[in-house]
Amino acid sequence: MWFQIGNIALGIWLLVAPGVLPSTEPGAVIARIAGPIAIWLGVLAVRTVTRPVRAVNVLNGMFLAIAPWLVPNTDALLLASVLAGWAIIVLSIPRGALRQRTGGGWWTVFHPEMITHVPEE
Amino acid sequence: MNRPHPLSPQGNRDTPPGWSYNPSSWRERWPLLALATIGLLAALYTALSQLGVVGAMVDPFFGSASSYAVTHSAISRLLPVPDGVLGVVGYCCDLLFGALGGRRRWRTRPWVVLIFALVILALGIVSLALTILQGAVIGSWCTVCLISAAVSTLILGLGIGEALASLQYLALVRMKAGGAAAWRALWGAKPARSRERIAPAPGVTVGR
Repeated sequence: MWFQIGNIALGIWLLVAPGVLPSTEPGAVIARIAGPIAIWLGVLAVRTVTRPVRAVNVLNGMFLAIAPWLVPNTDALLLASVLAGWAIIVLSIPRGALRQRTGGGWWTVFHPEMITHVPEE
Repeated sequence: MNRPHPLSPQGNRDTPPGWSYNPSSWRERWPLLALATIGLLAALYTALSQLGVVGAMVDPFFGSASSYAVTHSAISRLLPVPDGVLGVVGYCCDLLFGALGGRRRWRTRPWVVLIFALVILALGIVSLALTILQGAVIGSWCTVCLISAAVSTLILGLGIGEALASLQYLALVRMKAGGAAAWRALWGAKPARSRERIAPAPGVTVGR
């Protein structure tokens, strides 16, 4: 859960950063696209049943690590965005504790024979 | 009613097989209905502002002018109906499909569960898109819109798990009784009796 709270905090920071740091318009746009996505995915990934969506946040982090280099940007916002991107990637990789059992997860829809036999996490 | 079930030692007979809780229980669902009510009020307020019935919305954080810039932007007028009205329709669907069916509806009414999942998925994704547009394109923020987005996201996160239970159940039925039986199960028909239970009825001992 703390990994996802970290992602949410980073998303909020990304929304605020263009206002408090010297920024250019394209750099601000990138941060304001990635920020809500990080928050949204972070909130969804808190619960066990939707934990897998954190994988999309890895893609979001990659976008943040690359895109700010490609547009006219200030050093401050560039650094903030890229660091936030790497941090989101690092926080989104670990699965975290699974607090509930959900029949084995989404993949058992395609392998229903595994539903009651998946060992308790 | 609440005694432990052989396949779900932490749940009861209403719990889907392999789950530690029942996603269709009212304990899991009433927060969704409460959130959807909040969202409905937010969407109503937004719609009334966009239709001109009330003026600019009250906005304690960003100011009424900022809210007005968002709710009356070109994006909000993209569709023939203002997006606040669509939000009202969406939250009404949330309430309807969230409330229909009892505490075993993952099994007795999978079609309701799946429609509910589609509705909350659509509302959640649209909320995300509108939030991104607020910051990246419009450049102004709107507190009521952000509240609605937060509510939609929470509803999506809390409510989508029920669909997994229904999908697993339909997959089990299809595995044990065939595609036609799964289709009937989708609409609430009990699977045909067979020697093997699909998801064991209460009282059946699990053994080989």
